[in-house]
Amino acid sequence: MSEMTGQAWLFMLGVWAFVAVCTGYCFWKLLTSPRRFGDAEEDNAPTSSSSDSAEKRS
Amino acid sequence: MAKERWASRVGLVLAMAGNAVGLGNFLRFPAQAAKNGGGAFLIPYIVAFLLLGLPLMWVEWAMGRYGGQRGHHSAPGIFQSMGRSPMWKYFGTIGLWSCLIIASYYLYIESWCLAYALWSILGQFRNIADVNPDYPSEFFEILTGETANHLIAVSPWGMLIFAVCVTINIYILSRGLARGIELVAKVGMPLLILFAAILAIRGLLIDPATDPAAKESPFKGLNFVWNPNFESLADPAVWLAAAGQIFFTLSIGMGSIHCYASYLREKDDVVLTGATTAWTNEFCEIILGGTILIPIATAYLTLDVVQAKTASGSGFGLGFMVFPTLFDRWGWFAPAAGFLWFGLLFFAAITSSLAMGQPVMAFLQQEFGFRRDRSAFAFGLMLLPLALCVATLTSKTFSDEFDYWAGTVMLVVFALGEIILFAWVFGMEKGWEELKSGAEMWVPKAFFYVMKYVTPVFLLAILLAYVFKPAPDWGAYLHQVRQSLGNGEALPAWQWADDGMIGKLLHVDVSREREAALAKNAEARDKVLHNRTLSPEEQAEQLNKLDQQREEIERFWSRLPIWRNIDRLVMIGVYLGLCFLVFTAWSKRRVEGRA
Repeated sequence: MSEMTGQAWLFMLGVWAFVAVCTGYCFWKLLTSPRRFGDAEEDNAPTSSSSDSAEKRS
Repeated sequence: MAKERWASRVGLVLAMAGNAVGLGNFLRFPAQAAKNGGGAFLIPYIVAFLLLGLPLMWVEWAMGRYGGQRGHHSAPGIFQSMGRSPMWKYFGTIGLWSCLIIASYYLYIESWCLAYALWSILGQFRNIADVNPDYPSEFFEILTGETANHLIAVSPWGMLIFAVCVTINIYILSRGLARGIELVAKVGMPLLILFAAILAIRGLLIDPATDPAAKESPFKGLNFVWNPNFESLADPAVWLAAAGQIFFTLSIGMGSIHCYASYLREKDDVVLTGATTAWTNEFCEIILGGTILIPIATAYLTLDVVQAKTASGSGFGLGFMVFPTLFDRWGWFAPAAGFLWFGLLFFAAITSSLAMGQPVMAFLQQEFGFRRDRSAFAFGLMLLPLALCVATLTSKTFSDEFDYWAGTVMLVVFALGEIILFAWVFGMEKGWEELKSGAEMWVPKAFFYVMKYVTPVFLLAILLAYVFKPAPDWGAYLHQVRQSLGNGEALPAWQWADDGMIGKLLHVDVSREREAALAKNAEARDKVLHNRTLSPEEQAEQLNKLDQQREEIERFWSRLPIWRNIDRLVMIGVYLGLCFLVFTAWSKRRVEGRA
């Protein structure tokens, strides 16, 4: 471990902490979100033909 | 036809992250970081992530969801739905083309990972370190059939494992989104992280005091990756390398993210899920990827050797040709370590290759009414001629050309087109509302301006740097220019780089490699002529061999440009063929009143 300079340690741990916190925060938000998808009753997505009319409308 | 959906958000994030996490995370990133200023490289890298990677990731998610709501699950339809002009669907066809071309050689590399993983767990790399340390390289030659200066490179074993790999991919794709791709991602991604964590910890525990084979501390390698060289921040080439690494690591500009996101509902979030995907990729790349390759290699090979082996900015040679020998130092754990390393590369590769198949399949299903299993089979059929060329000819022909044009240049072109479409044609105001729709995370307004101005300029800079790249690279050339200006001398002569777009078109790399091969041959000839220990018969025999080799070099390198031009015509042909399919699909839509 003495092979690493103080600057290298600082840089490495700083970047690791930044990346780990951002990744952890995103996963925490995602996993604690009350919103889910995959429920059939929520699936009001248009079918192919109705989606085409939606495209014409927009 | 039943509408396909993702089963869970975590599954979708893992599938998207699996798409992004590929071989580059573990083989290219550490080499790039070490080459471009160590820890300081992470500054432009993170800046590029915020200005290029994350915005493009969000744009592709938003575009995918928007197109999916209008019944499009592949880039041609998604682009057309946002751009209105009929030409956008032909631009979007690049998204299908890239997936098909990249899959043809990426699956081949994936099959090598599978072969090395199986060979490792079977103990075939055991006890090679002292007896035959070059065995992994020999195994690679057996697997690929590659021999120097020969066009044909056929290996029955390589073909067999390649076929197995393609079949596995087609089978998974035929099972559908939730039961196929998502399931593999849910299993593969945690395993990949676990395998990488075990290897990283074991690697850092190498102690030269207790391990007689270790020459240096692995922390010396870690120091090489992380010690910041702030002077490199003044070098534009380092910023370009960081932007390139961010761009390629996130698998943007391929059409696969659009496709995956197109299966979302209108009010599903894309901001949080997109950001989670991008950060998961960064976790795998920076924390895991940066802690395996270089520290372990440094411990057993010394830093100087590692620096020489990663000077090109790639860790491929180290990862495949050297690592099995290094793992052999780990005693009983060696077969498991080899399996973990190549297993994690295989998981990284398969989750990415599946993402290349899905857009093509979605297009066939959507536009031609193919069933899922038939579309998977059709994808395999479309892949077959390209894969055969890749697997039977030297990598200097189809593989390298496909990787350069489809896997590098066209990704930047496609991303530039999509950001222009999203921010300027569709309109940034509309695009911003589309992005924020259903968002579960606040997006700073600054990203509005980043997407509209900074990202396109950044991409344009990357593209221009590729097109006009001077030899040996931008960093060295600009340094020479600064020196010349400082000394009041004339500017250095401009020569096209081997891997610049113009250099590639002019076959600069072929001329240079031919000259290098001939020089090596001449050097060997010289050595034989001046070797007084050889008898006249032995000398004549060796000179005869070298003369034959010289003829082979001349023949091979003079024919290579012809083959490369054929590769390029094949790529153009594939693109035109896909454009014809898109044209037919939209003609069909018009007849059915759906266009």
